[in-house]
Amino acid sequence: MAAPATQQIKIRCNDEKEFTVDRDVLERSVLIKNMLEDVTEQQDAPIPLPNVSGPVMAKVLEYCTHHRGEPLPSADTEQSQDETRKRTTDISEWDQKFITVDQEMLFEIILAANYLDIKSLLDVGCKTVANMIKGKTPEEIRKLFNIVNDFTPEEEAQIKKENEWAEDR
Amino acid sequence: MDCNFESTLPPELWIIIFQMLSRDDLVTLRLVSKRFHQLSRPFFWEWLILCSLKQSSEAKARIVLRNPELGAQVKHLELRPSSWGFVGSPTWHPTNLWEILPHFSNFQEECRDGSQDYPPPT
Repeated sequence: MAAPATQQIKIRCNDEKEFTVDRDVLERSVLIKNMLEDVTEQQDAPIPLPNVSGPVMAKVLEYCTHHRGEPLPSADTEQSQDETRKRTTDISEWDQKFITVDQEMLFEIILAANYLDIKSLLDVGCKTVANMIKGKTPEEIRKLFNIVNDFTPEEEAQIKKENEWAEDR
Repeated sequence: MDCNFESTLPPELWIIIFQMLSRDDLVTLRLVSKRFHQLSRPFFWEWLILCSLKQSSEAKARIVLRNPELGAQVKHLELRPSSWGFVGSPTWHPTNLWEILPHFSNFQEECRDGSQDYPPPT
């Protein structure tokens, strides 16, 4: 059953960078939580995390440490979260500061949160990207994410025509 | 660093992000790239209003008929048949409006109930 909160767990990132972290901090990640539950005896070998690099893990751990002790979303709240997700892109002040990083790091954090299964962090990352998109023109969004416009003029005209239906009420 | 962020995230994560956006922003996303157009497509079709007095409604109905999977995406469907008649090509008449209903798999029952006021011509 539950080990004492002071138990330290070692993890190893894909760049060989290792962290030793309090178990309850690490258990913000459902992936790692499940891994630890499967291990009955004390292990000295670090848990390998092949999809996360050291610098990204450092950021993720900063987030997990700040939010340690908060209840993890259950399956029920998860569903109602999906409902509210659509309408609200509000981010708390601490999270806002935390996620103010360059775009590459932002996307790395989102990918890591998805892989490690940290719902609240994934939510903060996705909301941040959604906020970046809000109110922009297609050209501004392309510039923002380095996207190439791969439409032919005909395809573009067709979509514009379809888009007029959106206002066709 | 020159990096295409569009391809950084897998489709399922872009879809989570798109769910957080308003309809106006989704309409904009459709024009960004083919990938964004494809990914935002189901959300664009969540709202559908078909009005017998609007020519664009015929075009919308035809697209749904050609792409049955889009009909299943519609979450809000409003039909506005009008006693004033129909605008559009001669084939766009009340019968067609009823014919496309089975394509909205999520609405079949409600639509059938609502159709009582406007029975299809026999």
